[in-house]
Amino acid sequence: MNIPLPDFWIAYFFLFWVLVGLTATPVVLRHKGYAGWLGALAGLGVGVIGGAVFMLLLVVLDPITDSLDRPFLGAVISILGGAAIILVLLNVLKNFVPVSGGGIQAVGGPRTPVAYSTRVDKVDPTWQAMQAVRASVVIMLAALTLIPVLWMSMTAFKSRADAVASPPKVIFEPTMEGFISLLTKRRQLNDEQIAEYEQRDDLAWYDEVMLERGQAIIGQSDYVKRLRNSLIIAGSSTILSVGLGLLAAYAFSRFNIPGEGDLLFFILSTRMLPPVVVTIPIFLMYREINLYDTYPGIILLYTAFNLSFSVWLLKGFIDEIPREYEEAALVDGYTRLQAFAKVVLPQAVTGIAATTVFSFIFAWNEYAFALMLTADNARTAPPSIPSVLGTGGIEWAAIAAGSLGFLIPVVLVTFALRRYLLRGVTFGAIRQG
Amino acid sequence: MAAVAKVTGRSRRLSEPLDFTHAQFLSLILAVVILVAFIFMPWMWTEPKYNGARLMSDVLVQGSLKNFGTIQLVLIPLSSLLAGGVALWGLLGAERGRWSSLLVLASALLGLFYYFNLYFMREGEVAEYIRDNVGTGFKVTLVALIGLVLQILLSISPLNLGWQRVSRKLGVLKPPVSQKMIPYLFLAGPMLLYLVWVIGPTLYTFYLSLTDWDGVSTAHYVGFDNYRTLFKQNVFTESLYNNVRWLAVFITIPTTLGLALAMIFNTEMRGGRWYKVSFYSPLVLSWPVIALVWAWVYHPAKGLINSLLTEGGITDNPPGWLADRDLAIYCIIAAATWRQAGYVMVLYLAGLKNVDPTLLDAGLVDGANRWQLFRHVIFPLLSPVTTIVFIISVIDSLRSFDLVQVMTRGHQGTQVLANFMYIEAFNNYRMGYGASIAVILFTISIFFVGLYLWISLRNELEY
Repeated sequence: MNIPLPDFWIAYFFLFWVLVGLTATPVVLRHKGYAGWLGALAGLGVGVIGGAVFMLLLVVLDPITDSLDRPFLGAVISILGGAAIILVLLNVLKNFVPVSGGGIQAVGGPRTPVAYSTRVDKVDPTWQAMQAVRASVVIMLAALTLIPVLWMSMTAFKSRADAVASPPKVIFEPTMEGFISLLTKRRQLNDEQIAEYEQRDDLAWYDEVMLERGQAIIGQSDYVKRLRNSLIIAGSSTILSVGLGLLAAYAFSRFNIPGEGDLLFFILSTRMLPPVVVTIPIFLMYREINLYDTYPGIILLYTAFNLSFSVWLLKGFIDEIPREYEEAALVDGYTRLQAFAKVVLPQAVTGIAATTVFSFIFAWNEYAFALMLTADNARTAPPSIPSVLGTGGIEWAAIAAGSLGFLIPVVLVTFALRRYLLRGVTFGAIRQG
Repeated sequence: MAAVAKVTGRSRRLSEPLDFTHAQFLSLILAVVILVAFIFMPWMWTEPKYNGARLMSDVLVQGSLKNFGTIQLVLIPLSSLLAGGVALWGLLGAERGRWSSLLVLASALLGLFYYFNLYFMREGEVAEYIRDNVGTGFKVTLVALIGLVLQILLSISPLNLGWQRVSRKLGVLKPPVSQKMIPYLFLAGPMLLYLVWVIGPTLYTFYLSLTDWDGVSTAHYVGFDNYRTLFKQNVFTESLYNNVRWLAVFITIPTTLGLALAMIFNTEMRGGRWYKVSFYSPLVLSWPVIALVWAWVYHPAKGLINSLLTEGGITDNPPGWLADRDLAIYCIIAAATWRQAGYVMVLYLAGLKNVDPTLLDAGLVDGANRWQLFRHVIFPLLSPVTTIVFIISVIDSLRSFDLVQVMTRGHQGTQVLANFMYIEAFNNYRMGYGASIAVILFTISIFFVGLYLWISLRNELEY
C-alpha cells in the first residue's frame, strides 16, 4: 500500500485542524462552566468540521485553479477557509452558548488580554484560546522538524527496494534487512546454493532474512568492531575525564587558588576552539611515540579535551554542596581525602552522573579527531558511518540503520537527563532548564 | 592516656587494632598498574600496539591477532578491576579491612590463573610461541599480581603491627605536605594532561606553520612563505568566504527562530516539555548522522525534497541541491541551522525563566502592548543570553568541519577553513602549509572566544 504525497499534506492539515479544535474549544467552554469532557467532544466536532471544510474546498477548487494554471492557489484558499471556519465556530461558541452554573467568567478578570500575568487563572479566555491555537501550530511545526529523523528511523526498517522507492513509501513491510546488512559480511549465492541453503534447518532468523536476498552471512562486518571501539574509547575517556575532573573541580571549588577564575575560563576557552587546530602536532607526536591509531592515544586525547568541560560542570555542582559539611568532618578528624570521599562524593552523585553522561555523549559523537588520528585498529563509529556510503552502491537502509543504532543510546540518555541538558550544552553557564 | 601507658607491652600489642589502609592503598595502586600495563604496554613482542587490550579484543572478535591471544586474557582486566573496586570499598569503611584484603587476594589469584594456565596447563605451538615472545606488559602484570597476593601478609597480626610501627617511624622522616600544596596536588594530574595534549600542540602548530614540513623529510624554516602562498590561493579565499557566510547565517536565522520559539514555549502549556524536546533533540545527534540524514533529504533523485517537488507536481526539473555549486553551501548551512535553532531556543528559554513577571505587569499597567513589552522590557532583559547566543554561533560556525566533510568533502564550492586544512595536511601531506591554515583559524577563533570570556567575566553569567 502506498500513499501519494499530496495525500500526505491533506492528512497533515486535517490533523492540524482537529488539533486546533481540540485544544482551543475546551478553553472557551471551560470559561462558560462546562465539564472538560464536553469541551473535548465539542472540540473534536469543531476540528472535524474545520478539516472537512478544508477538504471540501480543496476538492472543489483544485480542478478550477489547476485549469487556471495556479496549482497553489486552491491549496492556499482551502487552508484559509479551514482556518476561517474554525475561528467562526469558536466565536459562535463564545458568544452564543449560555453560561452554565456560574462559569469562571463571573469571577471577573482583565478584559484586555494579559499575556504574561502571574495571575494565570484570570486571563481573558480569548487570549487563552488563541494561545492554544498557537500551541497547535507549534506542535505541527515540531512534527515537521522531526520528519528527517522520523524518516530515517523508518528507512532503517525498510527493505532495499522500499528504501529507494519513488514516490517514497510511508507504509511498508518492516524488515531487519538494513541492520543485518550493516552488521554482517555476506556472500552472493547462486541458485543451486540457495536451494541447498533452504534445505538446511540450522539457519537463524537473520540468515533467513538475507537468504531471501540470495545472500549468505559469512561473518561480522567492520562496523561491529567500530561500535565496540566507540564503546571502549568513549567509556574509558569518560571515566578518566570525570575522575580527574572531579579532583580538579574539588580543588577549584574548595581552595583559594590564585588566578582561579582566569585559569578556569582559559581552560574552558580551549574546549571552544576548533579541534583541527591541534591535530597536526598531535598526529606527529603520536606517530613518533607509536600512539597513532591506538586506544590509549585516542582515549587520552578525548580525556584531555573533555577534562575542561567536566571540570567546569563539576565545579558548579560541588559549589552547591555546603562547605560546612566537610568542615564538620575535618573537625571530627577526617583527612582531606576522607572528607572528599565520604562527604562530597555522595552529595555530588547527581552532578557526577550528569557530567558522565555529557562527557560520554561528546566522546561518542566525536568525529574530527577520530577521522584524523585513527585508521583501523582504534577507529570509532562516527567516521565509519559515512564510509558505508562508498562501498558497493548506496545502501540507504543500512546507513539509516547505522545512524539509528548510533543515536538511540544518546537519545535515551537525553530524555533521562533533560533536567541537566541545558547545563551540559552551555558548559554550565546556565544552571536551570 | 596515663592508663594506656601503664598497660604492659604485650597486652597493648594485642589491643591495638590492625590497620589495613596501607594494604588497600597498595592494592589500589597495583590494580591501576595492571590496567595501565594491560592497555598501554606490549603484551607480546615489543611494540605497544600489541597490548593486552588489543590482543583480547582481537580474540573476542576474531581480528587479525586471534591466533596469538587466549580467551583467558579476559581474566587480567577482570581481576584488576575487581581488586581495585574491593580496595576502594575497603578504604571507605575501616571495619571491612580484613575482608577486602581477602577479596583482593582472591581476585589476584584469578588473574594469576592466566599465567598458571599458560605455563602449566596449555600445550602446543601457540602456547609455546606466546611463552617465547612475551612483552613488558606481561611481566609487569605478573609482578603486580604477585604484589597483590603478598598484601595478604599484612593481615597476619605481628606483621601488621610491625609494619605499623615501621611506617610510623618512616612517617616522621617524610617531609610534611604543606597545607598550601594540597590544592596543587589535586590539580597536578589534570593540568599535566592538559599541557601535553592542548597547550603544547597549539604552540607547536605555530612553529610548524613557518616550515615546509611534509611529515617525512626534515623540516626547513621558510618564514612566512606559507602565509604568502595561502593568501594567493583561490581555495583559501573561498573557504574564508564560506566561513563568513556560515557566520552571517548563523547569527541571524537560528537566533531569530530560537527566540521566537522560546517566546511561544515560555507560557505554561500542557506537555510543553515534550514539544520542546522535539526541537532540541537534534542537539545530541552526532554531526555525521545529521549530515547523512540531510544528504538523503537533499539527494537529487531520490531525496525527500525533490520527491515532494516532483510528486506534488510543482516542478519537473527540481534543483540539484548539494550537486549545485551555487546552492550547496547554503544547503549545508541549512542543515546546521536545523540543529542550532533548538540550541538557541533552549538558551533563551532559560533566560526567559529569569525575567521577573512583576516587571511585565508593571509594563502592562503602563499601557504597553505586547510588541512594546517584548521590545522594551523582555529583550533588554535577555541581553546577556543574546551575547552568549551570538558568541556560541560564531564559535560553532568556525568549528564547521563535520558537515562539510561528510556531505560534500569540500567540493561544489563548499570548502571551509577547517576542511581545507584537513585536506592539505592529511591528504596532500603538506603539514607546514596545513599548520598555517590552522593558525589563521586559531587566530580568528581566539578573538571571539576572548570576546566571550571578556563579556562573561564582566557580566558574571551565573543564572
